This record gives sequence, structure tokens and C-alpha cells, in this order.
Amino acid sequence: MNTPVVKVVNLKKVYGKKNEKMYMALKKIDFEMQQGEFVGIMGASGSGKTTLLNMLSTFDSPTSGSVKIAGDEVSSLKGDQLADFRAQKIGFIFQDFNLIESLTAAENIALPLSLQSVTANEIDKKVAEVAQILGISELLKNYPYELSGGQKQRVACARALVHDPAILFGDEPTGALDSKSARELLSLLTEINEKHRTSILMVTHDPFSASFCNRILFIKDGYISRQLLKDKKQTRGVFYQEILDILGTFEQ
Amino acid sequence: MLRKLAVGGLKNRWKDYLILLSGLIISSAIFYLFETLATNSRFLQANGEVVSFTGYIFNFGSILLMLITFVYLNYANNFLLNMRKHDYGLFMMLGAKKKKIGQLVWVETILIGILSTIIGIALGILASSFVPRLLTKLLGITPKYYEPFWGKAILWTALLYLGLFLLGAILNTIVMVRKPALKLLKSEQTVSKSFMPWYLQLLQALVGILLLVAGYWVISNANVLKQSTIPASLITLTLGSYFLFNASIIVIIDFLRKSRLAKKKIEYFYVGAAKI
Ligand SMILES: Nc1ncnc2c1ncn2[C@@H]1O[C@H](COP(=O)(O)OP(=O)(O)OP(=O)(O)O)[C@@H](O)[C@H]1O
Ligand SMILES: [Mg+2]
Repeated sequence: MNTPVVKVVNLKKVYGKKNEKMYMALKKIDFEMQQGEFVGIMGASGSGKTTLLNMLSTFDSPTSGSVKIAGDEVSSLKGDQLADFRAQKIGFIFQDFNLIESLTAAENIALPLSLQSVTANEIDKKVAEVAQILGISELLKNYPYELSGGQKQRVACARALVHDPAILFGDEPTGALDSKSARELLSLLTEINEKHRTSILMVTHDPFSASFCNRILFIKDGYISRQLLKDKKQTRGVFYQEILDILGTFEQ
Repeated sequence: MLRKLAVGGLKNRWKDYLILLSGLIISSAIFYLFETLATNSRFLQANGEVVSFTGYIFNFGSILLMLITFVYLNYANNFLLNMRKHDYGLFMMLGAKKKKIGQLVWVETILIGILSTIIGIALGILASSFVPRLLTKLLGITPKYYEPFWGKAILWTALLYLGLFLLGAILNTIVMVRKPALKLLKSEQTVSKSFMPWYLQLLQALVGILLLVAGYWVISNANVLKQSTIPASLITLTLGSYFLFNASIIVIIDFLRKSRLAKKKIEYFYVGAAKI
């Protein structure tokens, strides 16, 4: 069997330094994600979704427990190794895009490669490829302020994919988009997931966004309280209804 | 690409950098002016006792200015750092190595240093060209051998200010490289808050006004200080204006930002500066 793309064992995260007030954001998280899955993480505000995602994407370190991404134990990575790992294995889409305003779309997309000193030829090729997939080939010369929110997020998505990461993370990637742009982005993500077998892990509190995933993990009180698998034959509409039902039971 | 990132950072936020630059430009211009007076020994010796005494006073003024600039640069630098934290955090998250981040910080800081020093010296030369006329008017002499374009002054000003920026670059690099990426990405990007605490601004305003008042008093009561009237008034007036400027800089920039016309002018200024 293949190594899972994400394997989390006994993960715990406590915020607050020694003398400060402590807050246990994650108590005990265990889960696996296989290559090619499209997983959603849902939960109420403050339930620890961002906390979990930040630790999976190497942006923050766990208090205890193990996180393996594509077989590598993340907490053992330091300095340049960590930088290389981020540049090669991790793709991340932020809610607020985080594009550099002074760079064109093409240069923004190229950032992970430029920062790793990849040759210009190689960069141009990769950027053109990924722009094609995301349907933004026409926008490459534009600056971020010339783009709509949806276009910006597609550029950001291209930047997260340009280096062929082992996994694509997103923290509420549709959170700042109108419903039409959100739907477009989600369809693109689905297409990328199906055609290119890219593993995607996305945090969202929006049931509509979540209905595009194959599997959903619900976080509550620092644990994964339950998960929901989408049946192959199930339409998205039916899955959406099922998500709503589960969220309904959570409310009580 | 490295250059583009560094220059892009500057270009993108030039309005904010203007706060940082203007204080340093004015300080280096004043420093240059003082140095043209203090380091030109031929001029100091050829124009009688009053002028030769001036040399000492301006040496003293230069040192004072140096200390103030050191404190000012400390804040300016901090502010520069805060402005760029977000982008550097993002670069780290995208896989930039510490060495790369270090290079970027370095290039940016030094670029700003060179830019503001050059403009400062140019402004200083301009200001110095009025010195002979001033001396004639105040002392009734036609000063001999005074050079507004004075090599020694250029050298000292460049050395001091580039040296200070070099120090800043080293400190910035250390700070950036040590902080975790997520912290950097999330740090506040507001300008005015992180620039200078209000009590320092108030202090500068008070000292500035005090110095200006003292300067005018010295001029209007020339019989009290006699031969030191000219240097004393020049120093109190320039330093006083500088302090007042530093204190009101945030207000000035906010005003500039809001004014459309000024915005256009500054844009030209920036474009011109970028060509240097
Ligand atoms: N750096 C931090 N220091 C201290 N506490 C934190 C920190 N970051 C998050 N927390 C706390 O941890 C808990 C989980 O936060 P987290 O951001 O992971 O929630 P979330 O599920 O992403 O919420 P939202 O849906 O609002 O984004 C919250 O109670 C929050 O206050
Ligand atoms: Mg969150």
C-alpha cells in the first residue's frame, strides 16, 4: 500500500507560553489521508481548524504528537530542510490570497520556484502549464490590482500548484469570494483533484464548499468528532443535504 | 528576481518609505551643511576670528545631530522592518531559505540608505549655496573660500549615513531570520502606530519649539552672545526645525497622502529618485 499523504497521530496543540494562560486548541487528533483524496475540515469558529491546518502545512509546530506529510516527519525538519520541504511538498491557498502587489500574476505564480533559484526557462514552462490548467493564461501579465477576487484566488492557486506539491492546503479559500467565483474555484479544485490526482485538504465552514469534497472531518472541542464520506454514486446536492443534516445535529 | 522583489517592495509602498526617507534626507542634508562649515579649514582661517570660532560650534552641532539621527534611524529602521514583515513571512512560507531572506533584507535596506544619502547630500549642497549670502547679510563680510560643493563634507556624510544603514541592515537581517514565518505574516502592517511612540514625538516637538524660540532670541539679542550669535542661532534654528519636522512627520505624511496633488508630485519625485 502507498504511504498516506497525511498521517496525524495523537496530535495536541496548547497555546500560551509557560507563565501565560494556557489554551488547549487541539486535544487529540488522529487521521490519515490517502494520495488523491479531496478532504474538507469543518467545525465551529474557534474549534481549531486553522490551528490544525497550520501544523499540517509546517507553519506551526505541535505541542506533541506526530505529523507526517508524504512520509516525512514534519517536526524533525529544521532550517534549510524545512524551507526545501515547503518549496517542494507543500502548496497553500490563503483566504486573503496574499499576492505580492508589485509583481505580475506570472511572477507571483513563479515565486516558489524563483525563491528556490530554478532556471528562468524551467520557470516559464511551469508557469505556462499551471496557468493553462487554471484558465488564467490571459492574465499572466496583469498586476493583482487589475484582477477580480476570483481571478486573484486562481493566481494564488496556481502559485500553490506550480511546484507540483504533494498536497494542496487551503484555509477557507472561498471565504473572501462571491458565490459565483467560489463555485468556479471549487469546480477548478475538483477538476485538478480528479484529472491530476492532486491531494487537497481544505478548511471551510461553508457547507456548499464542503460538498465538493470526497470526505469531511468535523472538529469539535479539540477532537475529530465524526467524519462523512461521499458515496461515489451520490450527487453533490445529496451530499450537501447530508452535510447540512450533520451540522444541524451539531447545533444541539 | 531578487532585485525585482527588493525594488518592488520599495516601489509598492513608497508612500510609507517616504516617512522613513524624509527624516533621514533632512538630517543628512543638515549634517552636510554643518560639515561644509566645520571641515573647510581654509575658509575658517581666512575670514577672521568670528568665522574660525564657528568651526568648533559646527563640529559640536554635527556630533549632536549624529546622536539624534542614531535614535531616529532606530525607529525608522524598526518601521521599515514592520512594513516588510508580511511579505518576508510569505516568502518563508513559500520556501525561501534564511539566506535568501537575509539577502533581500540587506539589498532593500542598503538601497534605501544609498537613495536617501544621495538625495540628502544633493539637498545639502543646495542649502549650502545660500551660506555665503547669509554670512554677508548677518556679518557684513564676503566670505572667502567657502565651497558649497565640498569633498570632505560629502565623504563624511556618506560615511556616516551609509554606516548607520549598514548597521540597520545587519540588525534587520537578524530579526527577520529569527522570527517564525506565521508570526511575520500576521504582524500588523500599520505605519503610524509602529513608527515612534507619542511621548517621543511630543518631546521632539517641545525641544524643537524651544530651540526655535532660543534661536530667535539669540538673533534679536546679538549683544549678549556677541561673536557666537551666528553659529548659535544657526544650530538652534536648524536643529529646532529638524526636531519639529520629526515630531510632525506622521501628520505631514498623512496630509500628503490625502492630497491628490501632492500625491502626483511625490510620484514624480519617486520616479526621478528611482532613476538615480
Ligand atoms: N496564536 C494563538 N495564541 C493563542 N490562542 C490561539 C492562537 N491561535 C488560535 N488560538 C485559539 O485557539 C482556538 C482555535 O483557533 P483556530 O484559529 O484554529 O480556530 P478556527 O477553527 O480556525 O476558527 P475560525 O473558523 O474562526 O477560523 C481559538 O480559541 C483561538 O482563540
Ligand atoms: Mg480559521
